[in-house]
Amino acid sequence: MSDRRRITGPESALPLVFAPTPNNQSTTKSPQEKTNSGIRNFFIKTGIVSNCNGSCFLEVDNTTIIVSVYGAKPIRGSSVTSASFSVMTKVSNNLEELSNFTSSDLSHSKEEKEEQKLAKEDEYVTTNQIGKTQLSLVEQKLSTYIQTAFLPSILLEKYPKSSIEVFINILTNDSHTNSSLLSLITWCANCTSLALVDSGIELKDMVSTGIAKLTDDQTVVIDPSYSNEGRKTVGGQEVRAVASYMSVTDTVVGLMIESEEGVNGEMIEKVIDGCNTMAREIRSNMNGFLVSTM
Amino acid sequence: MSVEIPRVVVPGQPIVPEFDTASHSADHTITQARKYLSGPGTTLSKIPTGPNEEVNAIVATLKGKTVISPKSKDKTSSASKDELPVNEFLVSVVNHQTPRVPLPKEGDYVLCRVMKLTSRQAFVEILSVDNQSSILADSGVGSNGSLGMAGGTSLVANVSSGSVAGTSVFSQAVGATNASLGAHPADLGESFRGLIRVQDIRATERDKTQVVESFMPGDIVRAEVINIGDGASYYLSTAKNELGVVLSRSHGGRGDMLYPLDYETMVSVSGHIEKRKVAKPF
Amino acid sequence: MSEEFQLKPVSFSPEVLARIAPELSLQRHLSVGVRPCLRSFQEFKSVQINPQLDSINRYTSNQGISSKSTVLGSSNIKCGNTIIFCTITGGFIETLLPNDEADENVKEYEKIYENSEKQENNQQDDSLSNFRTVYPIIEIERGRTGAPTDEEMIISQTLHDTLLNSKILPKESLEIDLGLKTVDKDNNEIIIYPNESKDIDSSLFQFPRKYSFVLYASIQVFSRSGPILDAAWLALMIALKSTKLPCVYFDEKNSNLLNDISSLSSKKSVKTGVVNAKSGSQIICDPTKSHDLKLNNSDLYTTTIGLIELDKDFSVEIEDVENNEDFKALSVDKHTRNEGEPILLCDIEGDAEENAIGSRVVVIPDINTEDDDNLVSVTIIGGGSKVTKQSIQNSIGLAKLRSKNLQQQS
Repeated sequence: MSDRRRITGPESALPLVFAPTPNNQSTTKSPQEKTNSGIRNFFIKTGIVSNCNGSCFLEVDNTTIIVSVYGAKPIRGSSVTSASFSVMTKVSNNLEELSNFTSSDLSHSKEEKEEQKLAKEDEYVTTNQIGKTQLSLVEQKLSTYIQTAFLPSILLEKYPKSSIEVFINILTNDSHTNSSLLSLITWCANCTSLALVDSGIELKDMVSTGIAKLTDDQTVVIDPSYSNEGRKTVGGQEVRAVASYMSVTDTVVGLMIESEEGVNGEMIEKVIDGCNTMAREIRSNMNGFLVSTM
Repeated sequence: MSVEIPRVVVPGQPIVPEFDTASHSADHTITQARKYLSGPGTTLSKIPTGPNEEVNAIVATLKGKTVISPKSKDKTSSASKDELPVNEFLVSVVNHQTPRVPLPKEGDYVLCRVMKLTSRQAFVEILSVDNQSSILADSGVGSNGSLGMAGGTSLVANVSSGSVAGTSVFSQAVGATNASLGAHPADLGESFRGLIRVQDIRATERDKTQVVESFMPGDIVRAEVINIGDGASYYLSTAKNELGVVLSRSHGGRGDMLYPLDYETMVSVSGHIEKRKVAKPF
Repeated sequence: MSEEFQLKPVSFSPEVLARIAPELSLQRHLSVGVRPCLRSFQEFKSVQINPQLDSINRYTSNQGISSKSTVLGSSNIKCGNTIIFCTITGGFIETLLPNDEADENVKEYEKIYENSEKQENNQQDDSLSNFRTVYPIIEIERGRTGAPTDEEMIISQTLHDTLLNSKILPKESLEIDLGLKTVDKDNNEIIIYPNESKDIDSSLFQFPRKYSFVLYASIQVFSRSGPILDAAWLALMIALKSTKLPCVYFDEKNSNLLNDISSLSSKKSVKTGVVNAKSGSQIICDPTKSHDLKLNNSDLYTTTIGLIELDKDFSVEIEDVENNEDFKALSVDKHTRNEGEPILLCDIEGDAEENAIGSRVVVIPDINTEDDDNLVSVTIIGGGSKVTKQSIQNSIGLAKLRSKNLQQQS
């Protein structure tokens, strides 16, 4: 069924298939140096989009994100006493690799997962998401996470009969291994937080997000970067989590945990503590930034 | 003990507790109790102060500067000899860099554009509140492919069609309008709808007013919000001297600008007269 | 009423006036010689061409993510406040005629056909079928979701058509010269390309079918403040200039009869846009080798000029302004044009301008030729103020200046 509203090119065109880069030639950028606190340096700029109410641009390593907030905008046809809040994520068309790796995260059987992981060693990269009309799985997950995390923080009752919409645009992303979804969530959430403040919408509190990983030897690493790791071998007790907090009341508003093996309560506690540490640090960074722009 | 009040705040930052004491005497005895009320840009919520303690505090909801202004209160009413006088203060957060998102509330004056007339009411689209800033950050101009061509409006011809997404009334080419009806994608530049009932147009002679002698499609009208209404539209009224048509063009929008003559007449430069419910210009 | 009667409309804040009465707002500004966006009439928006986005290109980046990227070219420009990202990706398609030498009959037929065609027209090389274009999809962020708006569709189509008609992309640039992946005498896998060295036997490179590339462009626009055709075209041109096409080879090892057929029937899910291509496909792109995309004259830039007539009814007389130095610095063009001629405004920006300006002239001049008057494309849209011959000439002049300027910048 052709999409008649977009110019999609000839029907019989096939995607390009790229052979995997031979190892001796692949250049991986060394991960950015971390600051003393263990978090990578990130660059923020608010107010860059002029046709929306608030916006923020965030860049960390190779990932760049623009978040725009439109609201409060009128919505018709529903009798509501408070605003509706929605989040829409869009990953740039050229970042197909995100959807490539996600399918492995979401497959349920262990054998399937192993197989896909090994297959990825020898991975052929294909292209073409031209003209897609539905959200990919990554986009759905990201949107759901952000919406759940920010909903409690917005004073919706102050905006009756309107809607607040957040648009997240991921322009470039560094997605070498699994769990870069969690890293993406972290930075999208932090960027969204700043965009919401920039828009002048009243918030109960700001939401800040941290990501941490519990390694095999039970040490907690915050803001883990993956560029130099290559593929992790299957097995090993690694737990990764991203958690969002409303800092002043220390309330958790969003949480996502990943692990190949099972987890127990103690591990979850440790990794969440790591997230909390990073979230606090980021919150104080954001505070400093906001006060300096006044 | 009084709390130090931060000057610049970010959302979520507590400003002051709800109740506080102050001292005006030299020996630091407490002479005054203060109650803080939450104004624009703040909210009252519970802040944890200890492992199991919570305190009500005024918390900022915006990024900006704090402003604390005393509310006048009759001091004699509550104070007996043993009680401390309680003074009320209003706490707000202002930010002049970010324009506040304006939403119409009861009692606000709004500027709106007349879309459609029936014998009983006028349907309008609300464009801005209190003459300050437009409601929508992006008005949607240009999105439906029209070039914003100047010329007569075809709104009169399209009275039954209802919405015309976002393009300026004075610059509607008929072709473009028709192209944007029907299968137009999700609304861009969608704005709040308002309703002015015939009995709310004027304060006097309310039963003799005719909608078509008060407004024409395309007019810009200043009106007051009398009710937030239901999901469909706000209820507006122009029943005051300073409310009514402020900008209009003759011949349904195709002609010259009209200027106010008196409370019910507007005139164009060429001398052409039309009836409107005119707002008193200031 | 005892007050003095004034024929003056009430006053509004400039932002509100631009929304409710854009023509009035614009006329008032123009009558004192300024524009709502505070640029002078013939001042274009400043353009910044940032190479930052190079990091996602597959073949030109020196950063780590290139190994998985499928992006062949990209650009990132900032035009005034508007930010535009453009990425070029590719696909391949089988070209219709089989390789000449493979089919004797076809060769014969072509000989006959060639002769008759040569007699017809000498402009064979110039006909449109010898050129290709890119398939663009543009997304302008305006706070809405759903199907593309009219504007997006119109711009995509305009970019597509203009690129084709300006003959920038010859079809030879997209033709694929297939290499071959085979084993050498030591049984190592090697990939060889034709024309790489002299001793390679060119008979190795006989393939049953010919292929060529198909290029797609994805353009994202943020912070739109006026018509963006000019900026979108610029982004596309810069992306194309930076595009590297992969070297493609034929993988013998994966040769299953079935694969040939099945790879041609890869299903493309319309919803998710993901193509279920088998990795057993035989046509593979080299992960590291690439070559430039050859373009014909790629220094073509489009310029849109808005035309508006000054309406005396709306003119504002402000006496103090005439003598105010600061104001004079802003209002450059007040007296430099003839009466009755429309004012030319460059780079339409803002609600008031975009709503009120009904006539436009869009020009793509060719600045690389000797002939000073060569124009690649001219579009004149009327309906607003009258379009006079003088204004068309002036617009073309402005477009040339702008193009030369951009050529130096990029």
